[in-house]
Amino acid sequence: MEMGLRLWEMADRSVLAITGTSYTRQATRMKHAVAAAVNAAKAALDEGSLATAVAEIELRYRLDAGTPGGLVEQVGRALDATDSVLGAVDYLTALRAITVSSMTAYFERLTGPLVVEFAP
Amino acid sequence: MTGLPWPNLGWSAALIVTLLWIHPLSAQEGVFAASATVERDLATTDAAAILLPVGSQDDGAGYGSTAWLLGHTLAAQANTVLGGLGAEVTVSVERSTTRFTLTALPHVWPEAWTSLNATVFTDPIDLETFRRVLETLSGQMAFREGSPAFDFERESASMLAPPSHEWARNPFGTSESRAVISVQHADLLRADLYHPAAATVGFVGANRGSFPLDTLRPATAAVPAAGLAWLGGDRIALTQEVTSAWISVAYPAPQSTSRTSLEFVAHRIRAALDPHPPDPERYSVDVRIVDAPGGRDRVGGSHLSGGRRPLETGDRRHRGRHGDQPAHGRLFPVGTPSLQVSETPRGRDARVGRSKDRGGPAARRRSPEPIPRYLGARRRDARRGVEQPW
Repeated sequence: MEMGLRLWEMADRSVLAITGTSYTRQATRMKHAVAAAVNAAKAALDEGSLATAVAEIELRYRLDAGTPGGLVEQVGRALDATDSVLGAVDYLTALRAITVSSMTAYFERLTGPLVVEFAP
Repeated sequence: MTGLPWPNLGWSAALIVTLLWIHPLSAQEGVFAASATVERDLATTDAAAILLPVGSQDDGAGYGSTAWLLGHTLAAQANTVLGGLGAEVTVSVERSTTRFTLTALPHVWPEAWTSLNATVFTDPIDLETFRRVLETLSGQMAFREGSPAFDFERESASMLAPPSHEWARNPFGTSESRAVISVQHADLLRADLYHPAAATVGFVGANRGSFPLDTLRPATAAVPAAGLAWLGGDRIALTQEVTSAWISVAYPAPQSTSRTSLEFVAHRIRAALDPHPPDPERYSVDVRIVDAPGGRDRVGGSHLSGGRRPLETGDRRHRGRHGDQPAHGRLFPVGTPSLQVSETPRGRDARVGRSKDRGGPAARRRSPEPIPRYLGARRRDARRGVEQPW
């Protein structure tokens, strides 16, 4: 059984896509895990786990920007998304400003889910 | 060049030296054998490496993998402490060195560095972490031991040191050694050899003035020389019933050869040997620099001395379904100019080509004699050299 998570950014909205793959024998278990993923993440929110996640994301972001090519990609991607040359810096600032309440509010704004299933 | 008393400790040490050539550094008295800081105001993260002259060659007889387990246990402990802080530790345990690398967000650097130092040098080894690391290693080795690739690694190491030499010892031990190793063995090894005064430290980052260990004390530890390294090795072709064939060729390089030159040559050889476009189904190539025990110079010129850094060329060739033969005679001429970068009087760049004559007879005479190892379905006389078709 394999699980995956992706963020698709489109012009008018973003999509949080949770995917699961398994053999038929484990299909039911996999589908339950996929369906429960968002609520499980929401229930597990606390200051500690949030601080850990923020630190890990910032470290990855900075490591990716540690080479000239990586820096160009990070700054360029942020510039493309925000039309601001400070987009990458603003991203890190916003990242550090995340709180449990802001994350809870984010979860509350999620709509859906839309479910697509491929089965043999 | 900075003139640092830099011990010949391996890749990471050389990597740091390379950085020192590029950036200004500051150094003061401190507790480490040698250390240097490279300050980069625009660095996105801070990083430091602690390089210890401890490796599998220091495992006691019958206790193979002790150094590996010790290094990885301490790294796991450090990551447990640093988890969520925005810092991480990786470790690499080789035959003669152990390197801890800390990468951290700038604002947590002091805390992360202090924590790593305590974990590596003073904190008790956590028994549960040790057991978990040992269990993981044993699980991994259950699949690796007995494999042709694993056997070939062992044979490749025996090119550079006699099989009986401590350096040639398998870093991962054996199932027998792992069955008897306990956390006490790791603790003893650390007590004996994990000393800040024996460590070399390098730092790259933006924490100007906050790096607490700036030393230029003369190095007190280095990779111990071990006599007639590659000269004493037997040349044995390892024959197994396998569908792939491996060949490894080592080019001993004099200790005086600069690491940068070796890196450059390794890059050129890799570029010359790698199929383009990549063709992993046919063969793959790996070129790396190995810090082997000291040995007698095998290079013709009397101006060269020592031989601590063989340039090893590993070429794994897959025989295709139709019995494709590898291109004969490619490894030797391509590797031949390995010393031209540093030894050519006119200072000309190395010319790495596929033609046997590209380097010229004089260049070939100056170059070290390659030491081949071959693993394949048919026995070959490796002593005849890789120039011979196999």
